Amino acid sequence: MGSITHVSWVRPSHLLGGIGTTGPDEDEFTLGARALEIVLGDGLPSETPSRLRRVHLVGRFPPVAEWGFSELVGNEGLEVLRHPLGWEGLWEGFVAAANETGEDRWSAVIAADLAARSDGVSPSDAPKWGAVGAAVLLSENPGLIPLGSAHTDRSPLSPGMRGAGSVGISKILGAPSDSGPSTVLELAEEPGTLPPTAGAPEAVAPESSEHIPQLGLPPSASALWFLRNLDRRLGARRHGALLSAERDAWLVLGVRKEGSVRWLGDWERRSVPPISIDSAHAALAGSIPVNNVSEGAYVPRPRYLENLPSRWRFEADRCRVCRGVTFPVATSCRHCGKSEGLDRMRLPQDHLRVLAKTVVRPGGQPTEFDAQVAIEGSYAVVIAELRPEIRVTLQVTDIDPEIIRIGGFIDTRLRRLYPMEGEWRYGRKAVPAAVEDAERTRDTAASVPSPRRPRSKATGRSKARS
Amino acid sequence: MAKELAALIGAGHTRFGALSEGPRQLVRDAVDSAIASVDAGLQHAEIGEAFLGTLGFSGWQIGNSSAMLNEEGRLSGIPVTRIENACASSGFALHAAIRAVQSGHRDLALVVGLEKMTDVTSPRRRYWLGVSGDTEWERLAGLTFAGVYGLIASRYLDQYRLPRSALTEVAVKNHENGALNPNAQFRKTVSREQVESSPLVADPLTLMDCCPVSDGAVALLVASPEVARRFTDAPVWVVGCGAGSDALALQDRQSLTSLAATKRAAAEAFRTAELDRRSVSLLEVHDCFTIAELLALEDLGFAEPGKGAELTLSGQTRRSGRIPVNPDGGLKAKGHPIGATGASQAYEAFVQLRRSAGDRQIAGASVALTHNVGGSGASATVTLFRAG
Repeated sequence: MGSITHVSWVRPSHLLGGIGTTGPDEDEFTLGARALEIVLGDGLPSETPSRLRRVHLVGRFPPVAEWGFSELVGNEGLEVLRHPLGWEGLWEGFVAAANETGEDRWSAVIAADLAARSDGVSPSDAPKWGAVGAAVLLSENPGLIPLGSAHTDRSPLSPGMRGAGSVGISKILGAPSDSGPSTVLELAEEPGTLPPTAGAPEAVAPESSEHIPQLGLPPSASALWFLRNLDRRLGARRHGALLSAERDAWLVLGVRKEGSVRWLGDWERRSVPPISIDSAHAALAGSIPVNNVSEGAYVPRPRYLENLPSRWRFEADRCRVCRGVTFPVATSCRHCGKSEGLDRMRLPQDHLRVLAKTVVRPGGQPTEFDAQVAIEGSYAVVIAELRPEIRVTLQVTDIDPEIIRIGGFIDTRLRRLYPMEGEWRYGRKAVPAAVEDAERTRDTAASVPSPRRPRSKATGRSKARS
Repeated sequence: MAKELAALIGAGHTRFGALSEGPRQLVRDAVDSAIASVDAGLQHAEIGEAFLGTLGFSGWQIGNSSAMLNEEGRLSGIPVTRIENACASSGFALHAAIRAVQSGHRDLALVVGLEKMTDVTSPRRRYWLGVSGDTEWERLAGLTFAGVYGLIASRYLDQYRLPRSALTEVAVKNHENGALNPNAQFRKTVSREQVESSPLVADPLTLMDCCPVSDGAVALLVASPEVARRFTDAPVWVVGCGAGSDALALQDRQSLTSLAATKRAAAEAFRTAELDRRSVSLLEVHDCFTIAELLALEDLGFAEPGKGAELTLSGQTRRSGRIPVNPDGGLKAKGHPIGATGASQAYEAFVQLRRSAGDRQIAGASVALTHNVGGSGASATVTLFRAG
């Protein structure tokens, strides 16, 4: 059985009243994409994307998710399965993934829990609050094994729940003979809904239990957050359970600890100045209209799709004859014209040097960006260096456009570009670099081979365990 | 000195600006005034072939505008070819006409540059202003041409540690010249403060760093050297021709602060003309944005890299300076009807070298250079003219 070894956390880029809120260019897909990229970027072997066989989606992902995650990681064989939003869907995804993983067959669970603010605006494109988490389950590395979940209409902490055959913690945690069956309880508190009976932990005599508030997060995100706390509090103990009280029912989730879990994310390490609350409020006032303009300067859908390897993954071709690098990828080497002997490679997505910058002011934007400008105002555009002589043009997002400067560094994120022909178009945008370190050598950010042409497994494994 | 490639024997120019005339009327007016300008007279039927430079802005007759030129120019069914090379359309149309007469294929060819940009609504216009640029990377990042030139300008000022006053000086100088040009869209001078305090469009470019949206048409009559003197005692000789292309997107070019297409075009033009840059009396350069004029000075070989700003700030590019640039006001003040600009630059060379430029006449003008750029440097033409 596979276990949870990596969990990443991504917060929507904006803050509204202290709550993470999506900007106009974010949705479940862009947040999930970021979460998956963080996990895959955490020192895992370069062939990880090709080992990834299935993605379990928990949340209301837009249609692009059906093929978007496979495009994002460059693995055409990636299957996508959907689960209902909420704790149960999340656990269903975890358990399914844990059961199907094996050597060279990994799965990811991506939960994106964004709730439209309940002030009557369009649920599709209005800013949403919430968070997202992604977990990758690796069969060969022990971590947290999800044991299962159960619903009960009586508190699992009440004496009657300990009886044989009833749904309770002992059942969820597996055989009582399992060594070191100490239980940690984390009580997920929905303020005002947790009944007084929950205050009787002696019924199951756990070594510890603790109420933690829901942090203002929606349920799936809360579940991931509790999972993290549970992992940390388990210490030397082997079993743990989460309890959530939801209206008249209790949900119990159990895990067994086998090893450590890597907790990743950009919650703590990135400090993103919020955009003005006024503009976020303006965004709440209406949804972004779908732009169906189909004349003049626009990118037709087939050409948009054709470019995705370079647009989403910064893939380039290196020519075996002249060693030149072609970006974006084309059918032949742009330096010597050879169409054979091109090796696909990936250029770095983070820590790119800014070579030129402009701020497009209202009225200076192409019409496709009218709605965005109406909501957010000016935006910056930069030309950044992917490697010497190879550059990319990127819009800057999340921040005051004045902050980016020539000579500074940016990271990139997959975001919505604009709606066209009835769908959202996605591409990478620039955000301030997490590490503004000019000393950082270009080598560490240098290209890694494409997942479609993996390096030897031996190299990959030793890296994975380091 | 190399032999003449062709001769300009007549030229006509409508006003530039937001005009009430439609495209057909503009073409008729430009052709008629070009024919009327031929000293010894000329019949419409004597024109052997015509070339129309236009973008077909806003989708107006984008498919087949050649027939319209045949009708409105009363051309009696001669071959007409439309050439679309973005803002360099009529620069390339002029070169096609020069080759037609130089090869001996025709005695006399007509070039018309045309654009009608103000007929449509503002959103539609902004949509069309991007069609000549890179759509897959620049447009998807949210750039129009102002944005692309904003990137170039930011890099240029940063790389050479220059203040934005160099950009301001271009606008001030070109408005000063445009004020003297009866065909110019803006016939008023502007102050440095006005330029710098006008609203930002794409940093560091303000509204006053950008050329306007304009209507207008220009017609040129191009004769073979052998027949030129049948039409006038004062032909303006075409002595050098060069052109070049580059990557469409700025990110794919070798340099962010220099246009390789311009360099190539200039090298070819000076080589064919066997002329030295010191013999050039005036430049008509493609100043769609003020930064573009600084780049042009350097890429055409009149200033070292990064020194175009100094040349401009020292006043050497004014009409009284060592190398006058854009005496007609340039795209900046005269206006920029996209397809008409290349022909309009040649029109200025024609009147300057025939000493008929009125108040803006450059004293002793004997050799003129015109420089027409398509996109943000994706294509360029350079043409050298000598007084007859």
